Amino acid sequence: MVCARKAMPRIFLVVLIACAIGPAMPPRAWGQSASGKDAATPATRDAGLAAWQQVYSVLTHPRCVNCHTATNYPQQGDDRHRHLVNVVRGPGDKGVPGLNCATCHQSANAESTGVPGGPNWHLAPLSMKWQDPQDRILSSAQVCQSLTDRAKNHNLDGAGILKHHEEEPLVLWAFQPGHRRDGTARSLPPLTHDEFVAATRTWVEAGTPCPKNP
Amino acid sequence: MAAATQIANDLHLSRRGFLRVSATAAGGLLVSLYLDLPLAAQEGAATKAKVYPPDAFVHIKPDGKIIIQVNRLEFGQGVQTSLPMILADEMDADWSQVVAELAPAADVYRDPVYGIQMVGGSGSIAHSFQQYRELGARTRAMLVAAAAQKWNVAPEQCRTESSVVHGPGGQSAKYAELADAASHLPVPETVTLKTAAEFRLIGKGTRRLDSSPKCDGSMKFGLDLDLPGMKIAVVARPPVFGASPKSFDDKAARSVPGVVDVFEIPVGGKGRGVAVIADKFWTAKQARDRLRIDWDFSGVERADSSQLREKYKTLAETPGNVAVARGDDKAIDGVSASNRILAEYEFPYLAHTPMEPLNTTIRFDGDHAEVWAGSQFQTFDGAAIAQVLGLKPEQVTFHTEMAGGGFGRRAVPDSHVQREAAAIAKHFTGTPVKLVWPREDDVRGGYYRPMHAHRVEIGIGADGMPVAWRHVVVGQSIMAGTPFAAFTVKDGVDETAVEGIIDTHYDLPNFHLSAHHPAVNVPVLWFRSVGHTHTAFVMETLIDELAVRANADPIAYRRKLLKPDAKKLHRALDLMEQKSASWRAKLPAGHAVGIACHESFETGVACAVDVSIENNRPKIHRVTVAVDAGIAVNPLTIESQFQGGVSFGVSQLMAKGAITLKDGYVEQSNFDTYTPPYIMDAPTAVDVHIVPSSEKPSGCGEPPVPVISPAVANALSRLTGKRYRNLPLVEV
Amino acid sequence: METYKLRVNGEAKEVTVDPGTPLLWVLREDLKMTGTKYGCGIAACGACTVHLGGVATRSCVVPVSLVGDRPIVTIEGIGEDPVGRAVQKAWVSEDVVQCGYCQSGQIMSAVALLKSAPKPTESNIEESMGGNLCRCATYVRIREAIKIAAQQMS
Repeated sequence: MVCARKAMPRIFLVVLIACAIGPAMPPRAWGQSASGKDAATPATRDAGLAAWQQVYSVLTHPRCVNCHTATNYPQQGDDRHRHLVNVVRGPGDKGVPGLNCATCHQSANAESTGVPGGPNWHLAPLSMKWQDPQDRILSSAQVCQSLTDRAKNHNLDGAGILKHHEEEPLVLWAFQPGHRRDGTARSLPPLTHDEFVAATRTWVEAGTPCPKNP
Repeated sequence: MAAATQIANDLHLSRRGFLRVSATAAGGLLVSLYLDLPLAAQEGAATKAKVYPPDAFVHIKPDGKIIIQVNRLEFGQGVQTSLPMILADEMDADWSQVVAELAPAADVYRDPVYGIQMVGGSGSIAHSFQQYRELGARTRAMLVAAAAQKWNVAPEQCRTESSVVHGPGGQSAKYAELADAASHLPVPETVTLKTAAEFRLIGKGTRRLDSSPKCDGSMKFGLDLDLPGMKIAVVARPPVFGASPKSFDDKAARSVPGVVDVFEIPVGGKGRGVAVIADKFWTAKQARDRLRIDWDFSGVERADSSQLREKYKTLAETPGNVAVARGDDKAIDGVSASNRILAEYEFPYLAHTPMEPLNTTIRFDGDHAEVWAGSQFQTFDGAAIAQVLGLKPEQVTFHTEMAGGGFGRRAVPDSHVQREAAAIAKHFTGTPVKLVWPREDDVRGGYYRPMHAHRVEIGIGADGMPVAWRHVVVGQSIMAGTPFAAFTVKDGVDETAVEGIIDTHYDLPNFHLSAHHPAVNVPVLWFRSVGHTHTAFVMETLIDELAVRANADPIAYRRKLLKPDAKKLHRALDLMEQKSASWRAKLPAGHAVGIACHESFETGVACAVDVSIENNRPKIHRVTVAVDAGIAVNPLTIESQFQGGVSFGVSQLMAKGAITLKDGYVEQSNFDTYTPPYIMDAPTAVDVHIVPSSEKPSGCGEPPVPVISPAVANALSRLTGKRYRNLPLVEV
Repeated sequence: METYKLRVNGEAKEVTVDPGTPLLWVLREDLKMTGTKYGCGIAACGACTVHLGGVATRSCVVPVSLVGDRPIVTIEGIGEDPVGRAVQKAWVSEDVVQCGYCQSGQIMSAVALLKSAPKPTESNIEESMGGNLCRCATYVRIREAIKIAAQQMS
């Protein structure tokens, strides 16, 4: 929830009220917009929220959300079923000895055998869970709150998040997820990587606004 | 086949008839029944016990090693250790010098009861106990005779111990030193066997002989065979059983480097497929997967599980071919509705999926063939290979390879895997060809434990005991169309579909059992414990339901309902009750006990399980199982078989433990869609208790399997109040 | 076809194969090392488990092109490792094997577990061994043997 420092009076009032009734501010919550622009104008904020919806649509696509689980296990497939072969999260989010993620997942897609891969294949930490313990995807507001909570997100600011979306190998993987062993291509997120980065940038420049809880 | 059937009917052959299998010049597979019954018309009043030649079974090497031939496949059940134990004990051999070998196919290695070289029916020890004892005793007698001759003393003055003969005057000679002389002596007709008190190996827990090589990668299984110039074959089989290719495009397949040839062959289930032969497995499989085949499905029945379930349910509502008709079959109609149970059960197809994929290697040399296969059925398989290659069975050398599991899958009356391999090898004279069934081929390839439906009506008396029991079983006949049909299908009832009910040890008044055997276009086969896989589930869950209704202890209820002469079951039940009493008395909250007992293959088994529900699945914390199998040759083997067997039996409960067909296609393909138990699905602890016995030994390979699924279901019923009638347990 | 230099059980090996060939088949057919087994081809059973760069790895799904210079240890070589030796010894003393086909993989997984958790709990054992299939279902003895090996190691 962003409280603007400078705004036209009417907007300021709205934002002030929104701040007042919104969730309590965590100690190191967002105050400044990353781009340095002082004000979130209505156009920027709306654009930011719209951009966020686009970002959310990617984050909650199976290629991403399958590893952002709230549980002891990853998911797989477009139907997001529990990952087979009884693999579990393990203490370091990378499986357990004998059944590490790396037991099967190598640093690149294995096209001849249909196993996806990317550098340092592992589960997102539980702090970055985008589902609930019943495997239901969290709402746009909930995911946005998690993502922007520096206590949960490895202390990333907007620039940090943007960089993560631009460069993190496993994020990149989602856009080149390879083929299954039957030769069919894994489904892609709704945006290309470039579009995803652009939407993230817009959202970050708008001060990473989050929608209200429904 | 007609002539054989006639003979069988005339003489009312029991299951213990002999078979002789040979290929005829006309290309048929002649199965004549080789009669060896104690008929007065034959040679003398009593059956003469066959004298097996020791030199075919025992080879004593100069360095003292004793090589013992095992007359049947080792595929995990432990015969590679327990059969040599028997021989070595009577022989007074130094056990540390014993090496076991899996005997190749030869007449002398035929099962003494069935007359074919085979393993199955939990019969290894039961059928070969006496045989191997006598072999050991004969060998010892000949070694003693050789020593006695050498020392000019009487054989009775000599004693033997640990591969040494000791003479009366302090002389001694090692078996290795005497072996050559002994081999020239006549084989004694009669021998004296040890008393039980004299056993040194039999009855003692003895570790397996084949452990170390199985733990260091050096054990070679059939799939591991490597021969110079060998090629690998992988076959594209029709996705609907019995179909054939209309045409196929092999351009993409042939373009894979290393592919040698592509051609059509007949496959099991009366279809035809396309074989790809290459220099390596990966090549062959990739190429096979690139074949484009236009299949001809015309005239082929497309089995469908949903349709079959409906059909079977309807069939079960009418009486079938009568198996048992005891008392009044209308008695149940007189029982009031509130004192009746009507239970309908469903069971799916099951695939065996032994860990080692099916494979056979054959080299055809024109007038001879050499075969390497982990076969449960060497006689049948060798004859089938000979037939396909246009040879006589004697022209086939058949090596028995160590097999990675079988559970019945490697004993197939139509020898379809070997026939495929032979059809391929025929194209490559002089070159060994290894046929491999990748896992997908195995899961989809048929030869399943059949689907079944049961419909049971029970009338309950005032004392809570049954007063009437009307039972209909529906399922494909495993035996129909096989050489075994002659003595396993009676009056239209395949015994293997009703075993466990037809011979129940419960005293059921007004007991009527009948069976329908629809013909379905899905090849079926015996699966570890065969009919007992489903009959025990039905019987033991119903008995439990009766006990619950009668407010009776489930063990006491069984004890009361079992016939007094069901000795093995009573003993097993008593021992299980005793050994599980302390933990059953203090179960944690959320846990329940499940009880089951069942006799199969002449072995009585009773178990108690401790089950809770975790993540919507049964969690089996503990199994206490007691077994009466007569004399226990190797208690360690029995313990292994029971620990493994009850865990194997959990297969039937697994959520993805069913083979289903839709419009003719098998819906499962590998362990992701057909999933056997992993370590957490199996019981955490299994304690096994053997009833001490000096009776003749009965089997242990299959008897553990039937009891576990009803025991677990019974425990679950206590926890949830539900009765479980459909397997697999998709939800708890 | 590509040529790959591999380090297997401490020895340098060279193979020329299609890059997509799974390491399993390179081991079994090009290097004639059949101790590592084929059970399913989809990493569901663990029979193909080797150690790759010290990590238990299912060789049936790893194309040889992705192996790189990571050293490979197979069942044939695990006996050179004291943990490997302890596990093999416990497997024999506890009479774990039945058909034995899955046991190469079971042992390689158990060694990975014990190297990381020398005193594994029941839960550790279930989690780490939870992806290895045994159709003979020797699981009860596998649990015992792992505990025995752990005891022997300490």
